[in-house]
Amino acid sequence: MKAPPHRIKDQPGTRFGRLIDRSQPLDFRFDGRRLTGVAGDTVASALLANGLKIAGRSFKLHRPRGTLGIGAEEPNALVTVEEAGHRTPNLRATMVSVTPGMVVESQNRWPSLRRDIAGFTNLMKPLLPPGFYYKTFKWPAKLWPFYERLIRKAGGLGRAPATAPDDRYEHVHLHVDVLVAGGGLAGICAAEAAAAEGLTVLLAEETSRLGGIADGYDGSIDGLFLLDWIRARVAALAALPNVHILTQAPVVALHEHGYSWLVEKLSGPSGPDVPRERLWKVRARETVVATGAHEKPLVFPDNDRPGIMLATAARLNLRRYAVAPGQHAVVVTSGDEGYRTALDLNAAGVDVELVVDLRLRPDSPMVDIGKAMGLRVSHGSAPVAVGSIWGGASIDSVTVANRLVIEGPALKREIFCDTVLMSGGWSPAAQLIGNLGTRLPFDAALGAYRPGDLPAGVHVVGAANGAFNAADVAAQGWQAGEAAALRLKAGKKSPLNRIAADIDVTRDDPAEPVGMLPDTARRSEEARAFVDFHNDVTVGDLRIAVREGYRDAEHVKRYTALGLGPDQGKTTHANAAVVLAKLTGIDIERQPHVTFRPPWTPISFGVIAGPRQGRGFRPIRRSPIETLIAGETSLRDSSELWQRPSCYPQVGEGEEEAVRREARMVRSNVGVMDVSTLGKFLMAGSDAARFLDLILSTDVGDMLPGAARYALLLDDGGFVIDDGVVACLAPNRYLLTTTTARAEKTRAHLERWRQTEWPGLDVHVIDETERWGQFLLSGPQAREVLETIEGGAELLAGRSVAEGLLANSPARVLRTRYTGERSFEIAVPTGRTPALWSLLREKGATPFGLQTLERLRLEAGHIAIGHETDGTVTPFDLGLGHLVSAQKADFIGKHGLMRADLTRAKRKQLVGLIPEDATVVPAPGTQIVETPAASPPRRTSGHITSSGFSPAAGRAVALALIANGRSRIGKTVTFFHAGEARQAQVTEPGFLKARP
Amino acid sequence: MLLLTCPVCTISADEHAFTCGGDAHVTRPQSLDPSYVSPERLGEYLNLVPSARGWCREQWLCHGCNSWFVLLRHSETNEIASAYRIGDAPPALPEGAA
Repeated sequence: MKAPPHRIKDQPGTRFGRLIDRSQPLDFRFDGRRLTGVAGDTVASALLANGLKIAGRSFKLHRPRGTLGIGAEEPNALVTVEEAGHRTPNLRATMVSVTPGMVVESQNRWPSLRRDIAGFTNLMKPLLPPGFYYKTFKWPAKLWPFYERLIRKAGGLGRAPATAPDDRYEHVHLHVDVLVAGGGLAGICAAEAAAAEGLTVLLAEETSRLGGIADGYDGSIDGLFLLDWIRARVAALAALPNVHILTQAPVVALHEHGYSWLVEKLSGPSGPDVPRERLWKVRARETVVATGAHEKPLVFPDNDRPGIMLATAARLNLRRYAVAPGQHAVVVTSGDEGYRTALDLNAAGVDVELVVDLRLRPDSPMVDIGKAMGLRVSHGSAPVAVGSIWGGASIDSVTVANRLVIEGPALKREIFCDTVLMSGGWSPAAQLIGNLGTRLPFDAALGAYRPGDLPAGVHVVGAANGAFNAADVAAQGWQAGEAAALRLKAGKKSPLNRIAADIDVTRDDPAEPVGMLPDTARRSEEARAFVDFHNDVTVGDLRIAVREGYRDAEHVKRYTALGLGPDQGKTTHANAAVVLAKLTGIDIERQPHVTFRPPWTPISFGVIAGPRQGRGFRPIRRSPIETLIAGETSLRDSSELWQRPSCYPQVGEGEEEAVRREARMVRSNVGVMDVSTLGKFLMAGSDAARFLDLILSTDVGDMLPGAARYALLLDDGGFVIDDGVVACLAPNRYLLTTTTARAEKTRAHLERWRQTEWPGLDVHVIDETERWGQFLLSGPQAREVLETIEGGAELLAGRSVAEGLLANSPARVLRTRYTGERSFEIAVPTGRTPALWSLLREKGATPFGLQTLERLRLEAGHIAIGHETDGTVTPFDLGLGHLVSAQKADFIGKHGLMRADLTRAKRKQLVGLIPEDATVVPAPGTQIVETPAASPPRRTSGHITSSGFSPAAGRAVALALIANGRSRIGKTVTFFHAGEARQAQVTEPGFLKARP
Repeated sequence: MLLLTCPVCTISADEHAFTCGGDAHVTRPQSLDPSYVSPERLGEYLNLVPSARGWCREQWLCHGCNSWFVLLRHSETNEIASAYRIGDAPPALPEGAA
């Protein structure tokens, strides 16, 4: 049975329906039904206008829920919206404007909102106390996966869209003098005061309109209606060249040094040129937080029923959308706010059965006005029960009783109504201040958290600062704008342009803070009195948590999920503090709130990523001959940001085949690989050798010009972090090459030690990584090939490193043996690389890629940084003890290597492995298992670090780090491959000697 | 997102343009015999980080000019008191600091 429609009849000249245009009806769908709204409606107001009081089902208990609030604080009405091809779940119905053809779905219910099968979960509430997953659903243990699946299905919010949208998101940087967060009365005043001093101002408002909730109040400023005055001031602001106003752009995070994030939602269709959302990264020298306040619900049994709404939200619904919450209303209030709503309801034709004022003796202008206008008022009373029908889908009565019972039973009265409007006072929405790590103290008079000490450069004004009367709000706004100007113009003593106005709005008394009602509630009533609407946390749950020993707000929050929902507890924190203070007996001023973390409201991942998605995610670095070889192979491996060819498959060849062919060619003939990406550092100065001796584990000081050595870079703990070749080019001039992936880090490492530890040394480090291209020419014919090139023979004359000319290009040749074959690393300036590459190819060198290099060095038993090393491996573990100088007094890592743990017997040592089955290639990371017959967990003694099929040996080979490995050479070990135990023989690292 | 100013090249930029290198003014432990450092001293040097609550001297690398410098930063409020070159005399802590 549908309730009668709730749209107030059109009465021109009234204050209702200000934002809607009744002449433009809009059709939209809700849960498959065709509904009609009007232009200007939000989804929430349109649903209410159509008499649909249930907007969703609660997260845990699946209780039917209606809209509670008016904006971002809404915890109940979360919907999935589909428009213009975009599907977005978990949007607040109060924040979404209806557009023609919009498809809206409620969430967390099946099969329908009315008949949600999981509604029975509410009956199971005793089985679902806080932390229930530690208490229930535990036995039998093997059924837990079944329970878990059920519980996961029952919970959850909305369904994610199945396809990734094709949206653009933008990031924009902005520097301003003053950021004003919030475009209500306080924010507008702060912005105009700062702008009047010539400062650049960014005024950011969360909704699509400025003015905040000023439209919920009557009165005048400077003789104009509130809204007219605001409109005029905003127009004046917008006309100023130093003011930038953004709407639909909440400040979602405040950080140090005036840095903040705003997420701007762009209206209108998005496309390839129009972003959907924009992330503003703002640096402001002064920040004014004017984010307003949220009305507090009252806590009484069944306070979550559909039809029970916040009083100011109901009033704003009337004034903005001409929507009434019901036909027969009861207003419950602990302050003056409820009276305003009662008067509006009256004027709109809704029967206000009673105004229940929780205060014993309220005495304020609003109360007098209310009584004068004929409202029926009861003092010192509280709601004690709510009567509902249709399984809680709608209310039909509220029972009210005296709060103070001197003697005898409380006088109770059941009042028939279809809506209850509640106001517990205001809670400053100053969570942004919490982002900065500042704690907000609890203000007992206010019954809410309120900003206290603030870091320099941050101001809080208006309702966010606990000021709720218009005159105070405006005054604070102007003062903050002036204060910001004073701080920024310190030294420039020009008089400030003071702004003021004559503000005539009825002053309210502060609301009386209350906790659970009635004051004498029974346990069964506490179990239905909601403190956190979104996560279904009741007073009963909080009592259980306290009884189990959780007293600190941070513990209670995590145990009960209080304030952890998408609404981030906006309507929860203040009430929770009062309730917990009573339950724990801890003084309320000593109840800290939980840490307020960004973002202020949920934001999309897309806007966080911005342009850095897909191809924009990371820069790509390529070799100087990339264009030359792009046609030959598209296979690339990444080393940090570098894209390097894996191999060069010929027509019809797969990757593995290509690798084997290239490896064979290198071993039998000659191959060439592009190694331009290797780190290359020139070290020059009279202390160059001394510096290298301190940095490397190898001896450098005794090297003569022309000598080159394989070297290890250790960290102070003695662990290998990089390897490369150190070469002496000339006295006081050395070259150090390092791996591609570590080039940047090693560069920072060298500079750090040079500048911070040994700044007195006469040495310069010159990064030549990108100045030189480099090719690795490897194989038995490599020398011959080089000799046939002009200048090659001179470069090869008897030294390990030589500089000179090769084919008329400056060049440097270094002898290495990484592949196991005689090799030459030929460096030429980057611009000359295409010519040299082509020349070497013409000479018959087979191109080979990174995968092939990996295979070749594996066969040779040589380590690769990052494979055989992981930050915990020493040179001695790797069998490279000969690379650790025995004569140097000091070098990085020397003392670390002497530590007992690094010299103990059972360390993992590098060995080779030959699997018995020649075709089994165990993946790197495969564990060596000591007790294969035992049931898991089995004892392991090491792992495989590199593996592959060796064309030279004709079988699978691997390198591994195994405890006491060297003493097990000749023996067999076990590993698991594809679920089966396999054996392998332990050998020396290196498989070329066994060549057939 | 800290806003830092390099004392060497004077550019001001977001944290992204810098790399933090841990505590400043930490020298490798040395003893009279350079080839020996007691395991206790080495352990302290490698593993014990001051991690002060309050004013910290940190070394940062400026990507723009490739120089390391020292930053005096309050670890709770992120207030920056000063930034100075390696080798300069460290400026005094701000007044009222522990």
